[in-house]
This record gives sequence, C-alpha cells and structure tokens, in this order.
Amino acid sequence: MTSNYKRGKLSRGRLSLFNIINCTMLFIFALSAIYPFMYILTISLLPLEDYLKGGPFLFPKNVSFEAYKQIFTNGSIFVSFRSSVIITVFGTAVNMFLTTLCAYGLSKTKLKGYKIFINMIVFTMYFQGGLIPSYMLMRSLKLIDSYWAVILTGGISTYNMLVMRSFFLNIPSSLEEAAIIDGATEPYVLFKIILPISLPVLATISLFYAVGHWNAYFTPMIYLNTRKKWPLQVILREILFETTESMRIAGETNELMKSPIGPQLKMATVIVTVIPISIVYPFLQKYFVKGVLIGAIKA
Amino acid sequence: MHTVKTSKNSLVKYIWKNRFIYLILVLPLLYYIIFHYIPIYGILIAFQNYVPGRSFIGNEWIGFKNFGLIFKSKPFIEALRNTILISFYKIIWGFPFPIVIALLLNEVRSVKFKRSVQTAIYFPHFVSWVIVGGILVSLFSINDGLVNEILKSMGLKSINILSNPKYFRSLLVLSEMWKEAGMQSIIYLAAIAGVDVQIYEAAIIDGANRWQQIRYVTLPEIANTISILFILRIGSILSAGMEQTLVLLNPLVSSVGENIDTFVYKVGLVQGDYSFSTAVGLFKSAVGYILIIGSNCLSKKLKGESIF
Repeated sequence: MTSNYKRGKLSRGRLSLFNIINCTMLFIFALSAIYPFMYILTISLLPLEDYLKGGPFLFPKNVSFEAYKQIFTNGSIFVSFRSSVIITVFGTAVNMFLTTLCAYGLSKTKLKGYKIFINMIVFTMYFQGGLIPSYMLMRSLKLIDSYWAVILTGGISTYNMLVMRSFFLNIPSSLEEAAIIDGATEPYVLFKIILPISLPVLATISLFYAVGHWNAYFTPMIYLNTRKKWPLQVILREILFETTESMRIAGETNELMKSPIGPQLKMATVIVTVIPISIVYPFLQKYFVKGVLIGAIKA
Repeated sequence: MHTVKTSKNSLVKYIWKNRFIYLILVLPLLYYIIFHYIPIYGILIAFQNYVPGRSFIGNEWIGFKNFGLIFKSKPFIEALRNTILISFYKIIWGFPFPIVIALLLNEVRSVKFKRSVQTAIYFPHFVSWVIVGGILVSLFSINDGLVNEILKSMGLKSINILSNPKYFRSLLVLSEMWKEAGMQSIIYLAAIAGVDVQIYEAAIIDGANRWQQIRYVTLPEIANTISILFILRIGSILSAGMEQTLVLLNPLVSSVGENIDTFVYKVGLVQGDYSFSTAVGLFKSAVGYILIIGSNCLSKKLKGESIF
C-alpha cells in the first residue's frame, strides 16, 4: 500500500491514456464477475407475464416474489438447507478441533519425532490413495450415507493446518517460557495464552472450512444416498442439470420445477444458496487475502 | 546392554515429560493414518482382481495386468488426451491472466476504484461450481439463456453452447478463468507490493515510462513468484477440474470433456470396476508426484528456488 502511494506521488497521474485504458479494462472485468449474479437475481424476480412475452431481460422492470414464495411454502428447500447447515457447522467444528491440535503439536519443532510427523503429513499433500480406496474405507467403516463420511473426508486440510502452524510459530516463545516459569501448566498455556491471541487465524481458518463445506458437492453426492440428507448444492445440481426427460424416467421429479415459473424457481434456488456466502463475504475477503499470503510464504 | 536400557528409560522419560504435546498429536496422526495412509495402502487393489464386497485383503494378485488394460482402453486414452489438452489450454490462457490482472490493478491510482474491482473479482472464487453451472445455464442455455435471447431478438439463430463439442473445452477454460483469476491475482499483487520502491525511482529517473517500468522492473522482480506458481501448476497437470467438469459434462460433450478424474468416478463408483479405476487413479497420483518432484528439482538447479 505504501509503495503504491509513493509511486503515485512520483508519477502523479493526469488522466493519461494509459490510465483510461487500464481502468476501462478492469471495470469490464469487474462487471463480468458481478453481472451474472445480478442477472440471476433478475430472472428469479421475473413475473410470469413478462417471462411469457420473451426476453432478453437485462434488468428487472417488474418484480415478483412468486418464485421465492413457492420455494419457501413448498418447504423441500428447508430439508436440504438443514443438511447444508449440519454439514457446515459440525464439519467446521471437527476441522477446527483436529487442525488446531495438529498445528499446535507441529509448532513444537524440537520435539522428538517431529521430522517424521511433518514429513508423513506433508507427503499426503502430494500423494493420495484416490477416490476408490477412500470410498472403500468409508464403506468398511460403515459410514456410507452418514454425515460423518462427508465431515471426516477432509478432516484436516493440510494446507490450512500449515497456515495455522506458521501463525503459532510466529508467536514469540518467550511468552510461553515466562508463563511456564510462573508455574502455568501446558494446557493452561495452550488454552489461556496461545489460543486467545490466535483468534484472528482461528477465525480465518474456520471461514475457509465453512465455505468449503457449504460449497461441497462431490463428497456429499458420493457418500450420501438418502435424498433427505442431500445438501443444497447436490439438490441444486439436480434441479439445474438433470433434464426434465431424465427426471421423469428416474421418477425423481422435483414437483416444484414443473411449475410454469420453473426458470424463476431455479434461479431463486441459486440465489438462496449464494446468500449465506454473500453475507460472510466481507469477512472472507478481509481474512482470505491474509491467509493466502501466509500460506504462500510458508507452504 | 546397560546403555540400551538407560537410553530406553530416558526416551520414556522424555515422552513422559512432553506427554501433553504427544497426547495432542495422537488424534491428528490417527486421522492421517486412517484417512490418508489406509487409502494409500488400499491402492494395492490396483494389483488385484478385486471381488466387490471384499476388503483390500484376500484378493487374487494379478500384478500389472490392470495397467496393461488401462493403455489398451480407448475411453481411458480419450480421457487422458482430454485431461492434458484441457490442462494445457488452462495453463496457456489461465496462467498469465492473473498476472496481467495484478499488473493492471497495481497501476490503478485510485484506492477506492482498486478496492471495488478487487471486491468484485474475488467473489466468484467463493461460490461453488454448481452455482457457476447455474450461471452458465442462465447465460447460455439453448432455450432461454441470455446470449440466445439476445441473438433471437436480433433475428439471428440461437447457438447451443453448453452441449456442443466445439465449444465445450473453451467453456471449461473460460469459466475457470472467470471464477479463479481474480483470487489468484492476490499472490502476484503481494509480490508486486514487496518490490523496492527505489528501483522504480531509479527507473523513472532513467526515463522509463509506465510500460517500461512494468517490463523491466516489476516483471523481473516477481519472476520468482511466477516460477514457483508455475511449478505447482505443472504438478497438477493431470487434474483438469473434477467438480467443474462433473457439473457441466453431458453425454453430448463427454468425448471432449471427460477427464481422468471424472473417468475414475464413472468407471469406479458408477460402474463398479474398483481395481481398474484404482489403477487409473494410481497412474494419475504417480505421474503427478513425479512431475512435482521433477519440476522442483529443475527449478532448484536453474534458479536456486524450490518450494520445499
């Protein structure tokens, strides 16, 4: 930031051609990133009469909340919303528990066995058993169709763990030594000293995990068989991509999507799925940048 | 004999003294052993004639027969070709793009404008591929997608973008750039922010214009960051986008879009051929591992930079 400020002063910019072209290009890119979401919102709010007249519907002229009303009165969305929340909340809790333990343990680099532990763990970043052996493991653990399969599959993200560990490593060891001299026990040091000052990194990593769980679609799709357990993303994919033909054949037709305002309903479901992300986005943006940077330096 | 005993005793003493840390590490290590190392052990079924319903143990050993079958399998060769082609296109177009964005953003003088652009372009990273799929349907669907509505209103014929083999790979490349490029630019922006201002000052005194500053100062200064990220990217060349492809793939475009990951899913979990698809997965893991170790060694030799 400071370097920018200084450079700005150096080449104090009039409205040069360079600046105009540069800002126009960036503006177009930014618009292309955001407009699709606005377009989806537009469609979801489109009244039936307007839709039948035919589009393009670049901006909303008339607004109807009919699609949202139907989604919420039909209620099947609450079932998948509930699954998404269960997976996100419990998944993040398990992730944070395991990740914090692992990161704190591995921040003790002088510990005997440290080299073995860290090499064993980092190796899994570059070499995995793959889909089928993991699936077979879950099956022999009798976890198929259980939320636990979805939660435990990514129990620790090694990348996130290393980001957290680098934060712990940066805490001056004098802090801990002083507490030990004062007679503090090791658990006391961890829970009353280290974790409280690590709140920012804990918040960041929980956000990473939570967003990952909320957006996950492949893992729940393969491990959960019962329709009622499917999170929003799995249902949404079905709504968006299974053609009406194949749904009829499969006999799994989602009653709601037969409605004359089917397209609006689809897009309203997309919006409902995006809303939680938009709510936490300001925090995400703030912390994510930091997380990416720590990760990039250390990993 | 005596010394062994004391060293054993002292090890026990050491562990007892540090029991809290070892205790803390028990669960995470168990997690890695169960959920990473058991599946790695499970790779053995790639060398077995696996009978469905059995576990990893007690199957007939068939050696490398599955690997011979892989390379005789036409669908696999097709998936491998698609994976490499799509990854190649994604690198050619998608790798430089975030660098360009970072360079452009860095030239913006107004902090407010810069912040707004960043807020907009980071957002797509945080939505799932299913949502991006929804967006692509709303924009490109043959029935009522925005692009086709516009074409129709201009009296032109509508085009089928989502299930035309001609466009599908471009769709994969562009949608990934749309989703991830903003986010990936962060790392380059940070690298650029770390460049010493004095170098720019010197360049300006030497009469360098903005373009020359980018070309002769910024780019060389961030070359290390670029090469490290390039190494990482090359290491994942056999991952052409699992969730993305699975969301967007349909039978009309599977001949150009099926990649190794979706192939493993289809053959393994959908069709139930565990041994064969595990062999395919092992092939992928092994090649990826060799690539990342190899390119890391190469970069160590060339530039003294390494990621490990």
